[in-house]
Amino acid sequence: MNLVTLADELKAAASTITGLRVYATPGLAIRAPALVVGFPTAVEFDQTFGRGSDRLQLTLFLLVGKTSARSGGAALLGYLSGSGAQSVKHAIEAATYTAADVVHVDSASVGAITAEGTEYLGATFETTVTGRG
Amino acid sequence: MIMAQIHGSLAVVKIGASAITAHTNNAGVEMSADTHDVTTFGATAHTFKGGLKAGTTTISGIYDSTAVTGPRAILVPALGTNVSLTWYPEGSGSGKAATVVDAVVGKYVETAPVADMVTWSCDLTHSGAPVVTAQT
Repeated sequence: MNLVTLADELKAAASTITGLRVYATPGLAIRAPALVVGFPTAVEFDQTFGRGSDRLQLTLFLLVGKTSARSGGAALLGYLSGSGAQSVKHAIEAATYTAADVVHVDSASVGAITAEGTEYLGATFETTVTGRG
Repeated sequence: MIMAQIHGSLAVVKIGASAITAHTNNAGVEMSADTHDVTTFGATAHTFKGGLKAGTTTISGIYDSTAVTGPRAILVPALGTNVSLTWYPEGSGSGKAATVVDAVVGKYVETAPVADMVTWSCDLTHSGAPVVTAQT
């Protein structure tokens, strides 16, 4: 599984959500609303014999808006929805990937996310990726 | 240092000429023999004689929809038939262990948990004695 390609493909998938800025890797100069593809939190090699497949866990960070702005709640609900044009889960899972066989958004948690010293209303999406070894 | 322990990820399993290694993550090859009790009166302990040998193999892994080489494509048509089962527990390579046996594909199961990958498993019953040798 080529993780660089995977990050780019995740970015492309989430970029189908209108108005959402997507970053393939964590970095600076993030402008909300934004989705940031986090680095893998766990990589499990050798899910099958002969380097047949690997599996990894990663987190997608959604930053809807600054918490001080007291706005963005409605947009957040759209991103959290399981389906629809603004659904992060739908956008990620509906895409076609060359770097992975399966990309599954397992869960989402709402909370404050701090980036570059600013606290944002946001959510984290725990995602499992399975692909060729 | 002589390395004698082998990591399981190297293993190879084939059904006929089809390698399903990349779709498999567990394999158990069991070889057994009947044991006959030949204890007679007056004995103070059981005595036994060996009998016919037998064997089974259970393989399982992650389902793959690949039309030609996936486990479903290979194993479902083979249900109820005899196939050549090849098992390389140490992986491929000259001198490494090999077991080749004729086997009946007795059961194929696909399982789909809602929060995880689709998996498969297959039970085979050995027919005749396995050829236990080293790879050339």
